[in-house]
Amino acid sequence: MSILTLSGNGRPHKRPLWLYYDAIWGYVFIVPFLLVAAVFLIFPIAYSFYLSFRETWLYSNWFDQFADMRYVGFRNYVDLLRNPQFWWALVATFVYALLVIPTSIAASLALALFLNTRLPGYRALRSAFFLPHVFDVFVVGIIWLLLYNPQIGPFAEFFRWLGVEWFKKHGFVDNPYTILPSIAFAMVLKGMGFGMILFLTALNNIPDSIFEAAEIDGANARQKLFYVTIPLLRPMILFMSVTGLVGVLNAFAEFYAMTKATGGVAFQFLGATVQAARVSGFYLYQLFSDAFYGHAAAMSFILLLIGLVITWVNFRILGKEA
Amino acid sequence: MANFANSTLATTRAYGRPMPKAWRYALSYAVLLPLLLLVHLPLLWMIITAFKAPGYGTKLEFIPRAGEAMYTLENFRQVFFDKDFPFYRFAWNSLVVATGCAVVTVAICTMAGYAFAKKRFPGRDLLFAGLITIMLVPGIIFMVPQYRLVLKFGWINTYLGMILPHTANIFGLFLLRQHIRGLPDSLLEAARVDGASEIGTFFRIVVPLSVPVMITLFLLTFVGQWSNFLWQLIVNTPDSPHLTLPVGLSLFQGQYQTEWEKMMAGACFSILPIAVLFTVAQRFFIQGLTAGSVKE
Amino acid sequence: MLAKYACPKSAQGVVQQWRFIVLFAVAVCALSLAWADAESAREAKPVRLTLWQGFKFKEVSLLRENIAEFKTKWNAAHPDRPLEIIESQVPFFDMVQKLRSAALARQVPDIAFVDVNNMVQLIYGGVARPLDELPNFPAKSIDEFRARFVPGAFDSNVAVFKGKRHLYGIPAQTTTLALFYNKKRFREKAADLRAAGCDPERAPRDWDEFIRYAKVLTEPAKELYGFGMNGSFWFTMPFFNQYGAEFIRRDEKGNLRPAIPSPHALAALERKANFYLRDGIEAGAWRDGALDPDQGFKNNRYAMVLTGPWMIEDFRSAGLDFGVALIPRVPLGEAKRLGLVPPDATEDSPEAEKLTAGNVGGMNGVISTTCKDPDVALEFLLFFTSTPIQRRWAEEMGEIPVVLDAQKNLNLSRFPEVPTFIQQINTAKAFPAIPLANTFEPQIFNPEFSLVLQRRATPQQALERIARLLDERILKPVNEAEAIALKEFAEK
Repeated sequence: MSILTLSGNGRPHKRPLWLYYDAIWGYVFIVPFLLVAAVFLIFPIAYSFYLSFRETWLYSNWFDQFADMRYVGFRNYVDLLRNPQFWWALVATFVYALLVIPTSIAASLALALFLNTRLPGYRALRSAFFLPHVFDVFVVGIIWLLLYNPQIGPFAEFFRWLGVEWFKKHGFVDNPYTILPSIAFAMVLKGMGFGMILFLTALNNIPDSIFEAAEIDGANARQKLFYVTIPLLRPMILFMSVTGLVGVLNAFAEFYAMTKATGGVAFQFLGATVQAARVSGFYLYQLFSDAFYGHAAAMSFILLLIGLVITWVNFRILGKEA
Repeated sequence: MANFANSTLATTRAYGRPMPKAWRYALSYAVLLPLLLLVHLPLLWMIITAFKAPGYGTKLEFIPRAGEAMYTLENFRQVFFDKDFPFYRFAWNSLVVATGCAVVTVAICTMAGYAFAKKRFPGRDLLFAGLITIMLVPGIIFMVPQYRLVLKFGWINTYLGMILPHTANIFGLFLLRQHIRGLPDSLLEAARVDGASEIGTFFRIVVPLSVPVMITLFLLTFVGQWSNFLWQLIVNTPDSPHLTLPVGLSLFQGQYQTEWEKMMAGACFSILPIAVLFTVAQRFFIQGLTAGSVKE
Repeated sequence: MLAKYACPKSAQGVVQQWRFIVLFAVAVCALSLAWADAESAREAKPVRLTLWQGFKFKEVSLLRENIAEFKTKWNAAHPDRPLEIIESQVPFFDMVQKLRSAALARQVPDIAFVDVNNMVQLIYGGVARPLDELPNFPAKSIDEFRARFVPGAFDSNVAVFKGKRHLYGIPAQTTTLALFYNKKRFREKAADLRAAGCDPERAPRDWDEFIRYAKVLTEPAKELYGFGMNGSFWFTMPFFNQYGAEFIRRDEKGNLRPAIPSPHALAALERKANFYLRDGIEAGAWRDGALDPDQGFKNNRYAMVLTGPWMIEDFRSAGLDFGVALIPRVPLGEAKRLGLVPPDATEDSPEAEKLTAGNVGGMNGVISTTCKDPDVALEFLLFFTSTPIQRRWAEEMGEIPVVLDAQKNLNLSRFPEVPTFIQQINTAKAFPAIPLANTFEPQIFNPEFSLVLQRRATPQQALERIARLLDERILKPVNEAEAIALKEFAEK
């Protein structure tokens, strides 16, 4: 390699000097990021881990809230695992993830395929579909609540026009059956433009020769889609399902907005009363805002564990060839 | 470019032969345009409601009857000209914080992304995997420790405290690392052979080739911070000169009132600047990212 | 190091002495500086008060006028202590969050106007200062001071903390619910109302009458309903209050115990739930996604709602023709059956007055434990709750005066509804001031009541579950913590 000459004197190294040089520059380039990450991400995680074994109590002085937290051992974790509301939060998150992640991947892909042609105005359409992604989730959620209103919202009126009176009577976010799908629907519509851009980028990177080869082999359009395009897009699908999972585990503002901060309509689960849209992110927020910092930290670590397991499974299934 | 995707979806007849172009386009529009309307329904609804007179925001009516004042500018006037509501100050602060955060994020993510993509150093892959794992940690948990740190550093009521804690964006790092990894090594080697310094290589080769991704990250960070509410609320005391727009707008949500018309007028201010920004900037990044992904 | 060994012992001693001298000199300088500082401070000690408030926009201007007025008054009387008040607005719903984080930064304001429901948190967090201990507290006892105020509004400020009963705030703004009725709808349906034996010129007086009115005003086909209600606990409090239902009691050992389920609580809950479930007069406004009562009332869809004085101006600006009346009473027969009134009581007997009851909302003025001039802060709160100022708030903003004195001789040409609210607030009762009470409404009561309204549980089942959860999640932890705390405080 001509680059070896950079090592200067040409002496044979077990490990060429330029590699050290390269490594030093590597560290130089990551230092700013790593510094910020260490202070504002890694330290907080370690600190939260410490907090997850402590808890505030009624008499915690606000001026010294953290020093005033008491050691409780594993009680925060045990409390959570024994609470049916926590289990419902997990189930609701899981259901929501199943509703939102595959749908948004499919919708994004479909949109990308539609707009991957020289359809007149394709550029404007791409931008138009992308635009809602950048809006504040909370604000969009509030508007959707207005749209889902059973009395004055256009959707209930639309379904009545179709002859379905059910929504007029039971609402969209007012019954435990349709609340999660309704929120998921709103969020898929909002986010599919972003996925579309990602898929367009990925499509862009697929060499044309592959499709030419497929055509020569006599593949029709459907075969090309399922046997060529989608397998080649697998890394992007993996990426989107992992980031989708991250998004779902963090999802909070949409639930806060679309349930008027209540957590949604109540129903019975494992003998306890739970609220249909109190997903893990919402649950966590409530713990946080009620100053149960220890419980909140413990819950985060349980969620992290679950997230890691799902991601690992994801990689096993989707990442085989990636 | 060969055609593959133009004939992949909803564009084939049973025999597998492509449909005539006009039909294909018509079919595409028949699917896309209603969908587009649906996607933008919240935006339309917001704008219409923001112009409605008190009480009309909760009526499914759009055409005023004779002698009826259904639409008004009053809701906007209140946001703009209320003497107790320094709208422009809030907007300026939001702009500073969102821009600052986006610039720093892009800078450090590009540098680190380059290192993780193209440099070989001990611990690289382990470090990267570790950082990616952090993405799975629910975001709200960072709030309390970050707040303690900002207190410790004395950054309450400062732009620094509002900006810096959110700049280590791991998603951004991932995005840039993936992109830079795709750049051919030969380009970097060529630069080195030409005697370019490390810094020179970075600025002359890596940065120019990463502009679309950098702009994407810039805009995503910008909008994220533009609407960041909770952090900017707690890191500023209410008498801080650095309050941002979402915090200011939350003052509008009176104690018990739900005046949809005014809420939507407020919401316009959180959404429309972003919409304008994107309409202006989209060609730099949507086209940059997807350049060439048009098949005919 | 070497030099040290080479040094003779005496020289080392000199070095140490020299250090001592320097230290002494520094200490003297510091002390004299501090003394000089104290001296100069005695000459003109400026008072700087920070104030956080969560008022609505249109109310803020009047508050600012009050502050300016107080400043002028104070500065004229105390030229040696020039006063400065730095006021800032905080989103009402985020006040507690802000105070919490400000406490960590030691930046708690000197005065804060906080939601009555959050008082206990501030007291237990060590943020609110006992006011009855201040030298310029204007009464001999808390109870003497209480006589000046609307009782329901005052009581949220008194709490037993660390075994001692203190006053931690002064009511700054108080609100309650009352019955709003749509006069236009009443007129439209006048003939039908008369046919049903109802007087269209006035609002119903008890719940039986209310149901008769509402049935006439309900036309489901046109999506018009007689009543729209909010299902949350705060909006259910008037029912519990008028039925005389208690939630929490102290047992003989002083421990907190749930006082439900009781026949009174059950009757109250059934009364409210049945508007929707049995009587069919309620629009389903309690649902999250539906038009809430205020919006529906504004649109002439719900003929009657329970809401507060904060909506008056909004309704008026929407061109609504409405009246305000007391919350309908418990029907006399039912009240006698439940023992709320003596068996010989009539509609006009004084006991029957108690069959309508309000609830309490609003804000209290709190002085923080970090405030350096609590006497001046208290002076301000007393000024703010003085009769002339409270009268202005009633006459210009339509607020309910917090002091009883200001309720008399008001000129309410702009807000003719206020007397009804005054009458209602004087019947109001606050929820017991216990810690964690802020979690009772969103996490315990509201979900269970929502089950009742969805026909997934009976009122009796709901009350039983509410009692169990109240005990498990609030009362037991509070009892435990109090036991530990009392032991610890005793040790100290």
